[in-house]
Amino acid sequence: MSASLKQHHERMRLAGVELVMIMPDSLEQHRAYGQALFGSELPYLYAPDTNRNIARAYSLLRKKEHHHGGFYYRSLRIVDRDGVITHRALPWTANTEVDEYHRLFDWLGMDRGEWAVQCGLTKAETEASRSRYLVGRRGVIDDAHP
Amino acid sequence: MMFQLGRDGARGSSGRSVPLPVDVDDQTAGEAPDLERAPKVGDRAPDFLIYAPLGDQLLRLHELASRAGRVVLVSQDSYRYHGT
Repeated sequence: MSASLKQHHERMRLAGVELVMIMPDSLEQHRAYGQALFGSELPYLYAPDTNRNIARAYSLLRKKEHHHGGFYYRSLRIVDRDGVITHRALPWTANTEVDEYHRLFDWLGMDRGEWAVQCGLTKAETEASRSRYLVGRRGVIDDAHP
Repeated sequence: MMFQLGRDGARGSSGRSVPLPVDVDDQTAGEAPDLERAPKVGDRAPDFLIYAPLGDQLLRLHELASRAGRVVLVSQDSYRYHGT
């Protein structure tokens, strides 16, 4: 999903929309991931929720660990000029359902974007980059998580 | 930060299972999500700090919303658990 959002970020900005990614990774991890996979930092704004305070405030925590690991729900919210939530998808399954990804652009009143899995990288390149990222972070594994 | 081994782990090129670390000391494991209490349409979004890329500029969500007019908030789990 990062690839799709990276691809459409500039279009959203031109439409007067700011995009903020909320994740439990630190800012440094976020930057390292962008460099490893795309050769540059991811362009959108970032909220590192390392202490899970944002997740608690927005009810983003799963009751049980996802079978791939982790406790964070994917979610989508749109906030207006007054800081009021105008749209909400919780959970947001845009990583597996194209229609869900398109819902973002429908809500914004924009043309639908193409759902990009790899953003120009081949699958092999993506996996190789991600493996390097993970090995660089932990120095212990020899392959990426499926 | 303490870690414990992930439940499933990853499958390495050697074929062996490679466990992934999972946080266990953040008091969130097993915490029930309460979708009814989750901020919903019409609610004021809880405020938090945001970083701009290519710099360490900080701003708050409400400040950003006031400037931009519309802000899209997307959440997802750690990069260690997903691809692109």
